[in-house]
Amino acid sequence: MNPGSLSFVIAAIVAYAIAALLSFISVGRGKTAATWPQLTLAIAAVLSQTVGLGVHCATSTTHYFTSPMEILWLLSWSVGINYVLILAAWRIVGLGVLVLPLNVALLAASIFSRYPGPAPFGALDLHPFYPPHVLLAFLGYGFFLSACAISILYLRAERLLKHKLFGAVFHGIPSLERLERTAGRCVLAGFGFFTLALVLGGYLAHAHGVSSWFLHPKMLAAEITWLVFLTLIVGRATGRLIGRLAAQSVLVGAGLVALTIVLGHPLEVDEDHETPPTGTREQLRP
Amino acid sequence: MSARWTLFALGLSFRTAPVSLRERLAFRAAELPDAVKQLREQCQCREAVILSTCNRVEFFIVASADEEDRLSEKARGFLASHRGVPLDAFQGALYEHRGGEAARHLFEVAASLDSQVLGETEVLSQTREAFRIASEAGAVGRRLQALFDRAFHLARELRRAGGVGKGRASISSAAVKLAERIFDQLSEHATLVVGTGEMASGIVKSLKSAGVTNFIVAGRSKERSEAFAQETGSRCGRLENLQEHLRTADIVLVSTAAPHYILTVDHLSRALDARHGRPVFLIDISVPRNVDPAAQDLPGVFLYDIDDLDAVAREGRKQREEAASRWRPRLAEEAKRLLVELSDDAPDQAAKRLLAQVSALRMAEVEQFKQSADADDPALLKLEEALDRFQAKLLHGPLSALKEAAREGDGSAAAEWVERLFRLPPPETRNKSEPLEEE
Repeated sequence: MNPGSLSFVIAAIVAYAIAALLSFISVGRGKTAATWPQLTLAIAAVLSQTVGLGVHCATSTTHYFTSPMEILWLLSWSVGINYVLILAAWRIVGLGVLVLPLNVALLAASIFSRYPGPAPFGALDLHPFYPPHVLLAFLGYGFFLSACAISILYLRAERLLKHKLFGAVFHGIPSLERLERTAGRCVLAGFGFFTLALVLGGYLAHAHGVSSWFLHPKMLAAEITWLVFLTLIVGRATGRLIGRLAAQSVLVGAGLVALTIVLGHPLEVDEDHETPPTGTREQLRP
Repeated sequence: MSARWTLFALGLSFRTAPVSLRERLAFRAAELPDAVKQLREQCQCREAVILSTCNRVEFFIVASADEEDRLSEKARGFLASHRGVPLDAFQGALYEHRGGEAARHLFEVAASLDSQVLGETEVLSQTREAFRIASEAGAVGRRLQALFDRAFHLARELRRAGGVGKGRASISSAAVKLAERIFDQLSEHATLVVGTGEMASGIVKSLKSAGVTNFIVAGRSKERSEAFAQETGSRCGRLENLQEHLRTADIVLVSTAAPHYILTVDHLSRALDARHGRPVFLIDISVPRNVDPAAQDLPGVFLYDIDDLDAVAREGRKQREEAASRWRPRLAEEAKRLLVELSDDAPDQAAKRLLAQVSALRMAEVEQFKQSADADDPALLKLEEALDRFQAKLLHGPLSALKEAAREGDGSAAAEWVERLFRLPPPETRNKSEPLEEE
């Protein structure tokens, strides 16, 4: 990570950490409304991350978003955007308790993870569909992970209600119905982004001569993830997959998302296919 | 040191008197204007407010300090004679507060820290109304005005700060609180009421005010169910169709006198199958219970009995009590401070009289000098300026001391000493029969 980007990432970590602290305090005191300081801090963190990412993309001479550092960074950015949207629209303060520390951890890990060093750009990186593919995929991941965090809150709230634990934490979590609806909306939005990313990814793989790309482990994990979330959406729409079972299904889906990310190295091009040109950005740019 | 006026509060409340006694002594709203005038006349007091609610009857009186000893007796006599209840019947239920304690009591009443349900909002509007009636009857002067203004201000501040009004403190509101933990928009969910008990009626009313609009009442007695439905604005259902109602209702309130389970695990399992796992919130306030407690283990069933609701209400009451205990010292401090501010007009008066006396002396000396000496105008001007400075320097010490004493609560004593030291003339005395506006 270059020093320019690093300063923005550190600023984002600080903002997320303070917002996380406020979130813990809000939930601990049983508050559900005082969201503006957390919202302001989260927006500041997302903006800082966005600028950092911009600086990184402008100065990078390697494949985009294939190193753990970049994946963690982009994932945290996407989760941050989702958090801001959810907090602004549905005021789920308790979500910050899960999402904000996660973002701090993701960003801290991205700083300390190994950056693969200079590797030449491939033709794939310069294809006009590649940046939207990456962006859509990570926005989808972000929504799925947010849905996962909300589902954890749902299961926690349900447990508190079932076991009749009427403490401060109980008062700090929104209603089950709101949690379920919000998780459903996140799944729907994530599914839309993820589907588009899959279509674009398939097209890119096909265009670059990757044979049987749909059987690649990464693609298999992505396809199963897609099916799980499709089932969840259909189940919700027909009223057959709601409540605890729906929340548990979201957790399974989020696990598959994590697997897809872990398996997310670039697809290999067939040997008999014409080798795509490699080199620096300037050399490859028409 | 003796203050020239006194603040006195006399009354009884739910803490000291049963409702049977409170209802005999309560003043109707229409009676209050005349009653407050009569109280003022009978107690020979300067200012008076009568606060009469379902939970308390209280007089707040400002009177001359000379009347202090007789105030209690006169106010008690007024209450007994006005309501036609022998004093012996309620003597033991009465309490009195004087000075800062009376102010603190008023602050706590207005802020709902002395209410049966801590933090309830009604008492503030009742206190405002009592004050308005007394003001319109011409029974409020600057002291009660300042006292009630501060009480209202503190009550608003306390409410804004939250805490005392937070937390559900009754069984009905606890049921609403739990419903809100499960459902986001209560207006979107139907409620089935099984049984027509009085407590069920209270919970239905609370749910209605929280937004629930769709109620179905099902009871054994058709007449009672219809009456209950009419009273609560619900629809009447049939107990035989319980299983069908369970498919559509998301909130089920059970309150019957049946000695057995009306809703069993089997009932609910079948209903849940039909509901495709949609959660159901069950409130069983019957004793003995009418919903099988084992139903709580079914997924999507949230079952609470009367003890659970009481636990939520207790939690709410605990929260309110904690908040109230944080505020009480502040209100006591404010009461003390206000009383000091109001009592200590003596230093102000003494300072004014001192300034007037010294200015008069100075001007007399200047006049005398003009007549005796042949001084030109510039010289006279210089002399007047020099005397002005001398007066300011001379009086700086005593005036500062008066201010400090007023801040520390010793204003009246300091004023007395200044009066003695400078041989100030006594203040102009006000006739008691003068209207309050001239005070």
